[in-house]
Amino acid sequence: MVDLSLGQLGSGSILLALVLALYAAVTGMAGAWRRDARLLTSARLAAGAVFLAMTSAVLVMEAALLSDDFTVKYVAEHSRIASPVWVKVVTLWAALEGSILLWGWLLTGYTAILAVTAPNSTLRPWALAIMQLAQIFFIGVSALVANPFSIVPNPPLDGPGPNPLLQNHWMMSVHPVLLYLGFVGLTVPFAFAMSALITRRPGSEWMTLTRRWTLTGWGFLTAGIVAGGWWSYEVLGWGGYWAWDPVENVSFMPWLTATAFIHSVQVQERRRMLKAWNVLLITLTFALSILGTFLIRSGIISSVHAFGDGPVGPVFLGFFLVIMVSAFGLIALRWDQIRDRAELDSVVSREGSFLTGNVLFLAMAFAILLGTLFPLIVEALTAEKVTVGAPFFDQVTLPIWLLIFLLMGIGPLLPWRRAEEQSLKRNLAWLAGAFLVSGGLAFALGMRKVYPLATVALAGYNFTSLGLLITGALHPRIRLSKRSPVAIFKSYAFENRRRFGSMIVHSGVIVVALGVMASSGYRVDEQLRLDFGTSVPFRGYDLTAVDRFMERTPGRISAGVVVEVWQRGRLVTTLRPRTNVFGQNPQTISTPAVLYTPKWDLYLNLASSIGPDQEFVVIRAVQSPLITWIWIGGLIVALGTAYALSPQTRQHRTVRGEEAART
Amino acid sequence: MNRFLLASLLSLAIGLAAAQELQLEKQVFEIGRQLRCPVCVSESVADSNAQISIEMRQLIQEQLEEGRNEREILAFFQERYGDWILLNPPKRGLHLVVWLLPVLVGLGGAFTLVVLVRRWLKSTATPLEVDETELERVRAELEHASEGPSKSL
Repeated sequence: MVDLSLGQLGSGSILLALVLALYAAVTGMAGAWRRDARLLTSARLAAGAVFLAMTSAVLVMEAALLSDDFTVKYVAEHSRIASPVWVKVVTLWAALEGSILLWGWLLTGYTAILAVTAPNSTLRPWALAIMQLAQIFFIGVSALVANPFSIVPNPPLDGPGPNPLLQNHWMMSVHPVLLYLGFVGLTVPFAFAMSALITRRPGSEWMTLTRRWTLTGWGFLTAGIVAGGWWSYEVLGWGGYWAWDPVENVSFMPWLTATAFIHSVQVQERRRMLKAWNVLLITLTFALSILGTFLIRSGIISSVHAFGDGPVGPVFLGFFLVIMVSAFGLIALRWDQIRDRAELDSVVSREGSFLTGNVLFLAMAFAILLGTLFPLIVEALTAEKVTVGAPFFDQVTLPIWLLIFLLMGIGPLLPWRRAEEQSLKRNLAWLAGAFLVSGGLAFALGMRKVYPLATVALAGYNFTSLGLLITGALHPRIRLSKRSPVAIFKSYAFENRRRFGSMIVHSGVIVVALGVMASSGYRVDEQLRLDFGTSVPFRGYDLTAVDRFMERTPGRISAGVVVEVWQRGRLVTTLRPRTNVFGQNPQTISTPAVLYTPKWDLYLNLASSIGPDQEFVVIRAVQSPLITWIWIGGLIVALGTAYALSPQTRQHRTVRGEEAART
Repeated sequence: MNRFLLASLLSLAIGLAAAQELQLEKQVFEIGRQLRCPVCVSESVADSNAQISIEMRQLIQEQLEEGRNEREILAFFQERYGDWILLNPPKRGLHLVVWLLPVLVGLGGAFTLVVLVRRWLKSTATPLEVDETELERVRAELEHASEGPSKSL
C-alpha cells in the first residue's frame, strides 16, 4: 500500500471535493434546465458528498496541525510545536488559506443541509445550483490558488506559530467562525433570490422559504461583529472595541445591507412591493462579503487583520464582478416582472418607515464604503496620501444612527397601509414625552454633549415604544379573557415568536446603543506612573502596584505587574496586566486587565517595560462607562434572534399568527 | 537567568525610554485620538504603543503644559506631516469629496424615495387596470342585458 502523507491526503480531499462540486453543479443545472428529477436527485446527493470530502480536508488539516506535521505548508508557516492544543485547533482560521478552507467547508455544510431539508419547490433546483457554483469558487481557491496542503520539500523542525495577536486570547476562536457562519448563511437567500429570477417566480416565495436562513445568517453576523469587538477590547490594549479598521468596516457593510434586507422583505411579503429592491439588497449583501474579502486579503488596504498579499485578492475581485454582473443582468432580464407597480396608501405606515430605513441603512453603507476606499482611490489617481480615520466615520454615521434609532421606535407602532390618526397621535404623544423626560433627566444629571444626550433621549423613547407595543397587543386580550395578565403575556410571547423575538432584538439594540454612547462619549484615558508601594489616584480609585510577576508557559513568556485597586479604603480587586512574548516572535503583546462593573470598566494596560530593577511601571488606565452593556446588549440581540427562530407548533402559527397580523 | 532573559527581552521589545516624563493627562489622549500613528495600520496616536506614538503623546503633553490649545497642537502636527496625519480629513480640497459624497448620496436616496412614493401614492387614485378581453366580455353582457328586455317588449 502506498504511504500517503497528510498533505497529499488533504490536497486529494480538496480535489475530490472540487470534482464532486463541479459534478453537482453541472447535473444540478442540467436537471433544472431539463426538469429531470433523476439528475436533480443525483445533484442533491453529490452536495452531501462534497460536504464529506471537505470535512475530510478540514479534519486532515486539524490532524496535521495537532501532529505538528511541518511537511504541510500551512502548518509550517502558521503553527508551532509548543502551542497549546486549543491554539493549534484554531490555527485553522488564524491565516488566509485556512480561513478560506473553513469558509468553503461551512458553505458546503449549508449546501448539504439545504439539499436535504429544503422543501421540494420550483425554486430549489436553481437555488442549489447557485450554492454549488459558489462552493466551486471557494473549493477552487483552496485547491488551485491558496492550497494550504502544499508540501514543503524541506520541512522545518518547528514553525513560527500563528500571529501573536491571535493566540493571545481564547476569544480569537469565536468571532471569525461566527462571521463566516453569517456570511455563508446569507448566501442561502441570495441563491433563492437568483433562482426566483431564473424561474420567473419573483413573488415572495423565495423569501418565505429562506426566512430562517436569513435570520440565522444575520444573527451569526451580528454575534460575530459584537464578539469581534469584545475580542479587540480584551486583546488590543487600547480600551476600545471598534476602530473603523478596514476589516471591521467590511464586516459591517454586509451587516447593514442584511439588516435593511430583513426589514425590507416584510414589505414584499405584506404589500407585494419592492421585489427588485429586495433582490438588489441580498445581492449587495452577498457581493459585499466577497468584496470585503478581496479588500483585506489583497494587501491593497492595510489593516490589523491583513494576512498579507497574494493571488487570492484578484480572484475574489473577479468573483465579486461575476456576482454583480450576473445578478444585475438577471435583474435587467426580468425587469418587467419585478418592477414595482406598487401602491402606497400612506407614507405614515409600516411600509413607509421601512422604505425610509432602507435609504438610511444604504446611505450609511455607502459612506463607510467610500471612507474605506477613498485613501486607496486618491493614492491610485494622484499618488497623494490621505487618511480617513475614526473621527470621520463617527461624524458621518452618528446622525444616520440617530435617525435609524428614531425610526426604530415609531416604525413598529405604525400599522400596515395607513396609520389611524387617533392612535398615531396618542403614540406620538407618549414617545415625545418619553424623549423629553429621558433627555431632560440626562441633562439634569449633567450630560451636555449633543449625541449622548440624543441617544439617552431616544433610548427612553424606544423603551417606551416597546412598552406601547406590548400593552397594545395585550390590552384587548386582557379585556376579552379572564386569565391573569401574566398568563396572557406568557402566551402572547410564546405564540408570536417572530414578533416578540424582534422586540427582544430591538431592546438589545437599545442597550448596545447606550453602551456605545457612554463608553465613547465619556471615556477617560490616563497614563500613570506607578511607583511600587505608592498609591496613585485614578477616577475615584487608588491604584497601588504591589508586585511584579513572571510566567512561563510552553511557547509563551509573560511578565506583569500586580496592581491593587482600592476604593474608599476598601480593596476592590487585584488586577494583573501583563505583556507577552510568543516563541521567537520579537513582537510583544500586552494583555490588559479589566475590572468589569455594571457602571463602568476599569481597564489597565502595561505601557512600559518591567525590568527587575525598575522601581516603577507605567500603566495606561482607562475608565469606560457602561461598556459592559455592549456585550450584554449583543447577547440580548442574539437571544432574541434565537427566540424568533425557535420552532412553533403549526396550530399556533396559523391561528395566532393571523391574529397578530391583524393587530 | 530567567529573570534576566525576561527583563532584557521585554525592555528590548518595548523599547520605552524610562527617562521620559510618564504621567499623561486625559487631554493628551483626546488630542492623540485625532492623529494618525505614522507607522501603524489604522491606529491613532492615542491607541498605538509604537515608539513614535509614545513620543508624540509626550510632545502633546509638553505642548499642553506650554499652554497651547487643541487646535494649535493639531496644526503643529499637520505642518510637520501634512494633512495625512489627521484622522479627520480636513474639509477642503480633495477631501471635500469624501465629506460631500455621502451627503449627496443620502440626499439623492431621499429624493428618489420621495419621487417613488409620490408615484406610488398617485397610482392608488388611478382606476383599476382591466384586461381588454375582460372589458369586451362585460360590454357584451351589458348589451345583451339591455337587449334582452327590449326584445321581449
